Amino acid sequence: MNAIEVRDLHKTYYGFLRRSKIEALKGVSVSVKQGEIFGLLGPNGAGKTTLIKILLGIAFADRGKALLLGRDSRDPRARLHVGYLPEDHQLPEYLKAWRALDFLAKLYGMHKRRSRVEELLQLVGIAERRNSKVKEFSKGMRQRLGIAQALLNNPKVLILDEPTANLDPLGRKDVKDLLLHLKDQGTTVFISSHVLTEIERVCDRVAILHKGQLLTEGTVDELTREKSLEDVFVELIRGAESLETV
Amino acid sequence: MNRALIFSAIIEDSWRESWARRASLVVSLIALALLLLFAFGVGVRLDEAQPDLVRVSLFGVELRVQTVFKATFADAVELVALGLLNPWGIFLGLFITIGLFSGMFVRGRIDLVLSKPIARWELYLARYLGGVVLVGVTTMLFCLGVWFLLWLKIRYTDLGLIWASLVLVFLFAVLYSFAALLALVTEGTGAALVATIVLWGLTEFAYARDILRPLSPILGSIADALYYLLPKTNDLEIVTARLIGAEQLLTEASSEVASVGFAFGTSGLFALVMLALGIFVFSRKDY
Repeated sequence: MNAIEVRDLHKTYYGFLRRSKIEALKGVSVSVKQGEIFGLLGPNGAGKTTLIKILLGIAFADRGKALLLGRDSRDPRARLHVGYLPEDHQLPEYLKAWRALDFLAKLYGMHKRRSRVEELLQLVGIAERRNSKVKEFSKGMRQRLGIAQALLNNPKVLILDEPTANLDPLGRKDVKDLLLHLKDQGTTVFISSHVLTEIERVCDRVAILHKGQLLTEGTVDELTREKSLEDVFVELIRGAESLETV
Repeated sequence: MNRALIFSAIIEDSWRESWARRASLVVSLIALALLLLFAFGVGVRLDEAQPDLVRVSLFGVELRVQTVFKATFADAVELVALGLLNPWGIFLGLFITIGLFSGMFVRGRIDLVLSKPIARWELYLARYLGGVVLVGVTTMLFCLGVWFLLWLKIRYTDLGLIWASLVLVFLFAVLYSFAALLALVTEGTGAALVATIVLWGLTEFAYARDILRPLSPILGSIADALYYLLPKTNDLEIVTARLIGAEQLLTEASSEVASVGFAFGTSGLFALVMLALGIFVFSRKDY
């Protein structure tokens, strides 16, 4: 069983009174094996976040199937062993850091939360600010807290949307190390990112999405045999755009 | 899944958010100020010759009416308390809780919650209940305070005000079910609040059906339809007045309730339909 299975996914967003429409996904199919780190690349508006949201039941597909650990993504039980870091997350600002994690842990139905919350605050390096309110945190600290909440349930599948946004180089290094550590533990990681070097370093397999269509998919070694990932990415996107122009 | 833990977590979060926004603090301070005003501003002296009568003073100045019956004094105090709670308390409650409700559905925040293994109906219902609990507890504490002060001042023990406060919480819950649906659809608080006040006004308009029917059959039919479809706000107000034993203070025409069961039944049904609609819309909404 694959950790993530997406088959022929279609999604169109409509404007007011259906006067305008944006085809966010046009028949995307992707599968991610268990224990793999999978990178989803694409320029802004490629459909990466839409794909992730459909996987998590935050948005709904018009057509196609999305499975998480073999369960339909619309089933809340599919998210029992899944952790998620949204791109622009807003943790409850009025709560202290530890209480924000405690609240989100309760939503997993977790009973023994205190030790897990403490462990994660230590892991992301903000344990000394456990009693500070989220609104007092810098962007980087919020991102660290966001990563901590994604790990609350010790997930089998971790979905990260731009995990290194707002982080300084040290923070980025910490995230990279954390991802490799999670991979060693057998966690499946699905990352969406703009930072190609980041993806190249940690991912086993990569897919490039552009305007709702998958341009390519393969292992990092396969894609970077002759060129760097950045070159492959730019070439594919420009090629797709010139085809559209024609 | 442990539903009780999830529900209690979301209800507790509503509570914490309202305190953080200072909304609950302001409401609690207003309630406390009113209770202190009653405690220290209204003096009551028992008439030694006739134990059923009391002399009332406001800030040390005795009222012109030399003595009143204990029960009349208690009815008047309870009626003032109910008059403050309905409509002002309910309006304030709606203003605060609609903001709390729509705050949960902001993009970025809703993503975090929806990515957890909870069903959308659970989230919607728990957030709705959070608002009802918040207003319910505040209302109950205020009424308990008034009741306790009445007991201290005149040894009044009737629990009518406490029961009446439960009816007001029910009335709030009915209106809030509509406000929550509007807050979800419009993704804001302003339109939801205005629409809820308009609905409240329409429920009062529907009571004029007997007057409207002879004037205009169409208006009469509209008022009739509204009467059967909308919550019975006026009937519930009369029920609260009856519970505190103050129906004699209402005019004869306004003290008629078609049926208490009908008033509660149709109002409750309205709330259930609004909640079901809200859950239906929320379960299909993309974020």
